Parts: sequence; structure tokens; C-alpha cells
Amino acid sequence: MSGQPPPQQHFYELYRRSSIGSALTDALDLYITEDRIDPQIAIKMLQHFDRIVSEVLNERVKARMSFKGHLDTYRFCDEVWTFIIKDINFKLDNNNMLHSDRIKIVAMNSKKPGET
Amino acid sequence: MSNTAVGAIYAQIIDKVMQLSQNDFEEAGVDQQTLHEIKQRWQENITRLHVAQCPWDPLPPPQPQMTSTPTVPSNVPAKSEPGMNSMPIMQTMQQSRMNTEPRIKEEAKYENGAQLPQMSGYRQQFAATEAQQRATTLLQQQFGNQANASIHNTGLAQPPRAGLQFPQHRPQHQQIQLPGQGQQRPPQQSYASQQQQQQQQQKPGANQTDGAGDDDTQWAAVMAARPSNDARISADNILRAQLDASVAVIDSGLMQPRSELRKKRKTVHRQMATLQISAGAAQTDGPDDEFKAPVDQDDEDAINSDLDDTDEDELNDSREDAEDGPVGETVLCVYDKVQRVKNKWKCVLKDGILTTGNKEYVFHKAQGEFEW
Repeated sequence: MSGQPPPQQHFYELYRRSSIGSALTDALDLYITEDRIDPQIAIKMLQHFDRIVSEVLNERVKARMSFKGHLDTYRFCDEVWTFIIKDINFKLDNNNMLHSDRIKIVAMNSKKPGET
Repeated sequence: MSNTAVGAIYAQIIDKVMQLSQNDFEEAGVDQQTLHEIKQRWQENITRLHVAQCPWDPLPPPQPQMTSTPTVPSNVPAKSEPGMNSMPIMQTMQQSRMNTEPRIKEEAKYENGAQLPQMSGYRQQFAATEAQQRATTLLQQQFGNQANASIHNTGLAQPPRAGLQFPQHRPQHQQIQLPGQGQQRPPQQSYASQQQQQQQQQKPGANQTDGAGDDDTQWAAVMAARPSNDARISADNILRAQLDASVAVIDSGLMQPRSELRKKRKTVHRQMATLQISAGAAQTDGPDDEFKAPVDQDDEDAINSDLDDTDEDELNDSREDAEDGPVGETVLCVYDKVQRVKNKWKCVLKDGILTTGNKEYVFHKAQGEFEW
């Protein structure tokens, strides 16, 4: 076993659902349907995206925030927390406040399987 | 954290993904031009969502300074107030902006660059008298007709036009008549003109003081200016016909969001998979197949457990998506800690993208408290 290369680090795919992720997926989908790129290359690109988003959010973003609200639904399945929070107020770094009637939080475990 | 930082973060992400993908594209024999096009398409898609101001976006059209576009001349000075001396510069700026960007066309009605230089004298005069007009109105409101005398005495009623120069194209005799007129005017005439002024002033005055009613008044004016109800109804009908047409297109699945299409595809795939399995069961033997085939059939027909009913989940999700709008109200992140004591929850989230009110925010760390 020791002779094998270390398994490639896995990155979450959840950010593909963000606007920037769906924008990339849509763009790639267009080029695949037009037969201009191979789906394989698109998948690779999305994997790069998974990794880069995690890295950039981790290393380049310094902003903090806090929020309060009423928990409507919670779910914990396969190490993924899903909260649906109603009447939620976000307090941003610059003391700006944001409000939403209903927001869905999808949170993966920051410690990936295999990590301690 | 502000929405403005998001664009820069996204730009970094795009650049890095592009850098990494360059190699893959070379290996796959796809030219770099395609990669570049994908990047552009990606950026365009983000721009279209309007979730953030991104560095690659075309510069936003200059803030519509004309949102409270003056509809009567007496409103004009409000705009020219700050720094009247800089008027010519502002004019040329506006003019040049107009040359480059056709979007400001609506300004042309009152702010036509070609006419501005000639109008400037007139505007300055108005700007100078605006304070007086306001004072007059205020006095009128507070003291009613009793104020007339004092207004007249202080010379508020009629703007002192002595020092004002009308533009060159004005008839010469007007210039001669104007000086000193304010002071020497008989009271009645002054009162009449003042009333006139006040009437003129009423509307803009309301616009300036209460703020909130602006749009309503303007909208009412717009509505009043519309030709007739019949025209509106016919226009509504046209709109409705267009809407119906677009609904027909949506029903055909042409312009549907990807997520919904995917769900449809999933159902089709599942149906196809069942078909394949039943076909496969006929071709191969062995104990596994005999065992599997009935289970699959049962899955299709008999078991109605909540736990494995994926359709319901999908329904729920699609309902949630539908409620969330085009981008959704979501936070995508990783969690460090989730704690619960009775019905009080606390969590520490990291590396997230928050989408709310069609805007996106990124955060490194977020602390949440909520109760169930």
C-alpha cells in the first residue's frame, strides 16, 4: 500500500451550485452540446473549480459575519448539515445588516473524511 | 464584507481555473481560443445573474441622475445648485457622456447639450432665486396671507433680477425692462405674481421636502399623461399575448432552468435503467439476477416508504428552488462546529458564499445562532 501515490485530495462540489459555479457549468454545457469540447475536459475543469473555490475562499477571503434567525428545518445526513432558517438577519463586517425571510444553509464538514 | 469584494474574488477564481485548465486543453488538443471563449461565456453568465459588480463588467451606466428628472423648469435649479460656477464643465461632461452613451437619451428632453450653453444664464438666475422662492413658500405656509406684506417688504416676492443677464439670444428690450422691477412693483401685482410663483412652487416644493412621495407624484403624472384607458387595455392585451407565447415556449422545455431539465432527465434515465435491468435479467442467468429483478420491480411499484421516496425529495427541492427565485436564498459553506442545547443552536461556518436578495457575499467565517 505504501508504494501507491497518495490519493488525490478531494474537494467538495457544493460550490458548483453557486452563481459562479452554475455560470461555468452552463458555459461548459453549451460548448459540449456544440461538440466543441469533450465532456471529459469539462469535468476536469469543474474539478479545478472545486479546488480553486475552496482555496480562494479559505485563503483570500477575510470577511466575517454573524447571523440570527429562527430555525425552521434541520437535517444532518452524510455529514452534511442543511438548515432552513426563517427571518434571518446577517450582520456583516462593516456593520451592514442583511435580512432574508427564508434562507437555506448547506454546510459540509470542514474536516473531510480521512482527515483527523 | 461587502458585495463589491465578491467581483474581485470571482475574478481570481476564474483566472486560476483558466490557468489550471490550460494544460488540460493542450493535452486534449483543444485550442486556447476555445478556452478563452469559455472564460468569456462564463463571465457573461455571471454578469447576467447580477449577483455582484465584477471587474469584467461593462462600466455601469452613470447613475441615473435624472431619476427625479425635472418636469417643470422651476425644478431645474435644484440640480444646478452645487457649484454654479462649474456649470459649463458639468454641461460639457454631460454632453460628452451623451455622445458616447446613447442610454441617456431621456435627458435630451430637458438637458439637451446643444441648448444648454444658451440656457445657462437663465438657469443661474433660477438657481439664485430658488432660496428666495423657498423662503416665500415657507412664509406663506406658516403665516398665510399675513406674510404677504413682509414678503413684499423684504423683496422676497419677486426675485431681484437686476444683476442677472439673460442669454444673448433674448430680445434686448427684456433686458432693459427687468432691472429693479422687483422693488418697484405695486403690491397687488406683486401678490398676484407671488401667488403664481407659489402655484409653480407647490409641486416642486412637495418634491423637495417629503421625499417619499416623489415617485408617486411622478407616476401619477405619467399615468395622467397616458392617452386613455383603451390604449392601456389594448397594450395589456398585447403584453398578455406575449406572455402566453413565452409560457408556451417554457412548457416546451426550451428555456427551462438546467436544474429542472436535469430532474426530467433523471426520471427518464431511471425509466431507461429499469428497462435495461429487466432486459438484462432475460439475458443473463445466475442467482443474483433472479433475486434482483423482483426487488427492482418492487421498487417501482410496491414500496412506498418515505425514506427512499426520492421523488418527494425532488418535489420538495423543486418547490424550494421555485421559492428561491433565479439565484436562490442560500448559503453554501463548510461547518466547523454545530452545537445544540435544547432548542438553541449555535454553529460556526466557514468559507461560504451567501446569496440573498439576488446579491452574493463571500465570508471566511460566520457564526450563527438560531432557535428551533
